[in-house]
Amino acid sequence: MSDADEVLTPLTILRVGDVLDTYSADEGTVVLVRGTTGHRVVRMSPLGEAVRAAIGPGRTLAELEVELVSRLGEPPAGGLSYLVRSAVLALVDEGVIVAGQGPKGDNSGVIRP
Amino acid sequence: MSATVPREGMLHVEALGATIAIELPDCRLTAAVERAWSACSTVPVEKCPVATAPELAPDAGEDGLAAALQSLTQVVTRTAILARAGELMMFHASALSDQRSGATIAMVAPGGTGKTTLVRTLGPGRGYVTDETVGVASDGSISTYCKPLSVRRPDTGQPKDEVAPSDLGLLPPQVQPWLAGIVLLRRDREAGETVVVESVDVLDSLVLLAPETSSLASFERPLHRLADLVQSVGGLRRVRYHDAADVEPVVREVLGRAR
Repeated sequence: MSDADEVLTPLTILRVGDVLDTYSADEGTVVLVRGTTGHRVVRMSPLGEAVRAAIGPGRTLAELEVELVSRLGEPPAGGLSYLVRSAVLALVDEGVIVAGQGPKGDNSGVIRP
Repeated sequence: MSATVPREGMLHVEALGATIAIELPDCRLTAAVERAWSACSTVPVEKCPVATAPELAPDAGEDGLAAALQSLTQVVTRTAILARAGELMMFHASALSDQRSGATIAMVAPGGTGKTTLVRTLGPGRGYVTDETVGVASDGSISTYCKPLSVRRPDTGQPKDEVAPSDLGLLPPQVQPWLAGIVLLRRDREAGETVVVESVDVLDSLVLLAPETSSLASFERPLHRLADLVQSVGGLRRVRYHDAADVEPVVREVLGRAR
């Protein structure tokens, strides 16, 4: 279980991480992320890209689920919460999004787990 | 920067298009450094970046000298990369060029995975561009870095010996090199297995190449810059091989390309 997994609750605020560039082609999208130990390029899954787009300036995990349903509809096989949580955890691990308990209006970049 | 008079204890080299002053505080290093860096030697210029060679212990022997030379190479490389950050797209790669056309293949690979061996094996008769860092300008021209080759010792492997290209039968490019192709090396085939050449789509190219770049984030829209460069040479190919000689057909094909 990662650190993010432990703190991820429906009220956890999600924001886009320090993404320096985004490149899209017919095959999908990659992003360049600034990390603590250097930069990395992450290839986005379709759901991951939808999550990143839906987060906007910041949403809670619960709000994100609602937003994704409005954009994509319910997943055919159900399990929305599990799918979104898995995608969010993967994106947090890669630094594409950051998770914390701060107020949504706080854009200082300081994460308070 | 303007030319200046050479002074004792200083050697000037051209690395990735930048002039670097190598400061030699210990005269015991001078002859070895001058020989190893002979292919890069250039005229002094004022206010160029300085790379200082490490000091030798009073009782330093052959290994101590070799370790200092190896360390100096790393310092010069870092200094040159810093000097060209944001100007050149720089890859951790070896490169060879065609001596008539300047067509150049960049062979990208992490350290210790065969870049120098490839250059030593396939380089004679071609232009030795580098065995370490390839710097590509926005127009596709390449700034050479004809550094000494870091040759692993057959017994212990360390310290590596810094060997002048000419001592290995390698010559600097005779005409301006330009990027004709880029491959990613993976030495994961068994002895006797044939070389495998795989096309890599542009997105995976970015994922695979980014860790082998230096100062990528210094560019505006770095991923677009890298993608444009990869696409300008027909895309990235991954070359899976065992013996350096197996890569010869790939090198020959790329060096035969016209601009």
